[in-house]
Amino acid sequence: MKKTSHQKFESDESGSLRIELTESPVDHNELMNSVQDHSCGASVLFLGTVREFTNGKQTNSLTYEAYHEMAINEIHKLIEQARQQWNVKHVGIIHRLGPLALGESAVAIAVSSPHRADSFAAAQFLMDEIKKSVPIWKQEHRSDGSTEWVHPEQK
Amino acid sequence: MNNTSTITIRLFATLREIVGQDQLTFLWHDGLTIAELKQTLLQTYPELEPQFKAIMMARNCSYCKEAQVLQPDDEIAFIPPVSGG
Repeated sequence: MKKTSHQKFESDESGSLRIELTESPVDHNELMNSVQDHSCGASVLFLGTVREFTNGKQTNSLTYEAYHEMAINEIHKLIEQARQQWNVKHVGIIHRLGPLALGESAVAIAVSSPHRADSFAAAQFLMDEIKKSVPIWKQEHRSDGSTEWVHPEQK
Repeated sequence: MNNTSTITIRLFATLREIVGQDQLTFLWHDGLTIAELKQTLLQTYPELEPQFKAIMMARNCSYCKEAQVLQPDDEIAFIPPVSGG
């Protein structure tokens, strides 16, 4: 089956942003390389990976679904907010969709900046806010055979 | 002349599964609001009611309130609690 992918890329003299929603495995090395810049002394990579146990329940796999058009818009807004608060140069965010096995990366966030404090803070802000407002949903397939769309309060 | 205007509703995750479709088309009329759409949907799919308690709404890919008045060809999405990352 064909793997679908939705992307947005923008670049100007102040830096670049890249947003990708994809059914293909996340290549975080490629993402990390894409934010490298001689003007930056720091780059931070965050990976969110599929965890086996949540509140004592065993997960076999996850499936992610998104409202693609809006998810990309919302992530774009968050990156703009991050740029207003911190001096970051490049931001790359990939969120995986479709079925994922244990240990696979569901989300990767790479940020580069002249100094490390900005990259650390921006990466944390972006991940925290993605979980609040971006229309992406996670369905858990558990070892007891049950399947459930996860609600934020269950995380 | 075709003067029938419609709006599109996008459904995701639990809502998509309950309704059994990821998209619905509704007839538009002057003054139509999202609140009215919700009521109409609930009449057809009463099992949506618990889901609608925590629902967010978007018009043309931006979050909005349920009092939002709709225009022809609007795309409305009902967004269950998000769980990305």
